[in-house]
Amino acid sequence: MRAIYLILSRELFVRVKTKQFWILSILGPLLMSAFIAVPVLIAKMDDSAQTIWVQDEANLWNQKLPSKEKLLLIPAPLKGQALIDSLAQDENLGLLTITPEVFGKNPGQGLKFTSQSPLSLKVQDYLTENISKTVEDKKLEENGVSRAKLDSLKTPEFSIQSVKPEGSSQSSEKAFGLATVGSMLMYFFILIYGMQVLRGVSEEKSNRIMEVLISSVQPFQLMMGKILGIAATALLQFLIWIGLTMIVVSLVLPAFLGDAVSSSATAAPDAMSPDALSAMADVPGFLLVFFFYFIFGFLTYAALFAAIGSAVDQEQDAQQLTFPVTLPIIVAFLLAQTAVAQPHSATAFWSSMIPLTAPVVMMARFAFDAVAPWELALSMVTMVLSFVFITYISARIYRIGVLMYGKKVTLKEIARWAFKK
Amino acid sequence: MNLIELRNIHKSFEAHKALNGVSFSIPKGSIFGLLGPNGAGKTTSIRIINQIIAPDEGEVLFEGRPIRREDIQKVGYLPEERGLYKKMNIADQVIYLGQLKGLSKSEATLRCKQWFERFDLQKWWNKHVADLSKGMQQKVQFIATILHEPDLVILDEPFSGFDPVNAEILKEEILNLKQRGATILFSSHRMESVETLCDSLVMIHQSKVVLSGTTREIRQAHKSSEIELLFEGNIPDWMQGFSIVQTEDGQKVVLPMAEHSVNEWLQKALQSQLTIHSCRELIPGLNEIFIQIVQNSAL
Repeated sequence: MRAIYLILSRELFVRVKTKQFWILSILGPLLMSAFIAVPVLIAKMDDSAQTIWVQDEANLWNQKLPSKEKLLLIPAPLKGQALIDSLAQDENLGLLTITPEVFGKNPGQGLKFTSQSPLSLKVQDYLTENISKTVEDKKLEENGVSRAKLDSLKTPEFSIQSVKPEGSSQSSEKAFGLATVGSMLMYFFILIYGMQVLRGVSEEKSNRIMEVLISSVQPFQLMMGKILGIAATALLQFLIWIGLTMIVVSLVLPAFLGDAVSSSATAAPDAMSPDALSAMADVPGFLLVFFFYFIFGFLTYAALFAAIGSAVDQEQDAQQLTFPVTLPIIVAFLLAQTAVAQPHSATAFWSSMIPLTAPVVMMARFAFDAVAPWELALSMVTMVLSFVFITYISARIYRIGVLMYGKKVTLKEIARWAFKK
Repeated sequence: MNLIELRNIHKSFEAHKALNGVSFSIPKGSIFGLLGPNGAGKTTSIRIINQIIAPDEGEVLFEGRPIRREDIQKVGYLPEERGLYKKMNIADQVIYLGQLKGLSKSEATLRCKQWFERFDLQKWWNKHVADLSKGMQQKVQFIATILHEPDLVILDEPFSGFDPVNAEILKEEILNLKQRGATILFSSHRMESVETLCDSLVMIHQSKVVLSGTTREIRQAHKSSEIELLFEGNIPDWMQGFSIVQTEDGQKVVLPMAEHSVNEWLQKALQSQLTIHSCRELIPGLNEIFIQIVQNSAL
């Protein structure tokens, strides 16, 4: 145990002392926050006042142009060549031409915007919404129906409220965010840190310190120490991310962006919002389940990566051999996407039972509360069993691999090492 | 008393038989040579002693009883292919490796400091391997090998890569270790590099022991029973029939001891009024003995 502890601490401290660790620790949450902050900032910067000239040939607006704050619509003061010249000279100027086709089946054919620069999305949204409503109003009028009458007949927008049998309510937006962020983090950490295990093992082999190490400790201790040390590094980084994200979300973002955050939170992709990350802390059991699957999922994959790392002399030689290990984790990530859409489907169920895909897929299912206790228990048991089995197999490969030099090893040979007497 | 004893060790890798019934004993407190050409089975033997691999058959005794896992802490091993971590400062590595061999952190740090002073490496304490010259790296590796004061020090090709000055320092340290009571196992394919240091040795060829004993015994057993006489003067009649070689220092002749003893040959030479520069019994080097054995076994 002392040997494993010594190796674990070395792996942890050597990594934590590097600049990369801290750069990634700090950049991770910042990048996440940037996903929400950048669209907001861009939207803010886009807020300069704009003037659009209008040639309303369809008499859509009856001279009452729908100007609003920071968007001035005025009838085009020029005509013919003079108009074209001024449009060509001033890139901030635009001309909206409306022809009677706007009342046809495809209203877009009646609309043309002439300018050096294209219409911004925001203005476009405002104009299309307004025009569509005005066209509708006109048609209603022609048919003798008033807008008020129509509104009273229409059913308002609604959503279905999800409740648990016990009566507590749950939000599917939050579940969606949690599912996506949870499975993505799981995928990301297993892949990135799993590769670090591979790199670490093949480094010890290629710089030849391996022989000294295995004459001091057993190969199994060396492998476990390394895997656990890197797992500790990953957990530490994850905790830093959670902590930093919470600080950024609760203190920095509001101060920096003001109330723009709350007003545009819907505009930013929900899944990537730091809210979802910090929401992990709110959902009871989620963090626990995350840590469980992270630890056993990581250990299982890390053992496989360690076995591959031990079989090659140089990290570069590992490419082909890593594919069979990275494939299931990538497949798991794709399956998690379908599990987000249909957490109760058979695909979602089975992929959350198979140990190599379970860690990632289970995050998606658990967030939607779609996992029965027995399913969770069964999946956890298979995780632990597969961890024991795969570690055993990997240790056998590792034990032989670390002594093997100067030979390009094939998967077939690796399999033979694993199962020979 | 033997520190280590190998008894009838067999080891195969796939179809290749790496060791075929190898037995030898390493007396406590001696310098022992494990010699043989590349691929003879030296590294496999060392790995078995180090418990990196297990023999298919046979047993290893440590101080007279079967070797145990924890005995590994009493062994220090400097492999032929040497390496250190690139991204860790050298003192930390030495301390870490010492800890893995059972030292406490404070003890390892203290000893590391003493050794760094001894080898004049103090100012490299916080440096990385890449900043060190090859000679310094070798010193660091040597320190890491013996920091825990092992009973058995295994040195695989210890002198390869050492310049003459550092090789001399290493030799001195090895003799110091011996004086302190440590047993040293040398492994080399360059027989002459270790023959002056080794008290006893074993020679392995094609997975089998072909020769073993004390260095002195072996050389005595393989002497050709001839003397070489270097002299000046007129060649006497009795010397006709022997081939005489003219050298810069005089004439050289090889005389068989089957006919006369050394003293008798010398007497004859003196009676013939020859000026004698030197007279020595021809004792072959380990290299020659080895080649002789290999040739005989090939016949």
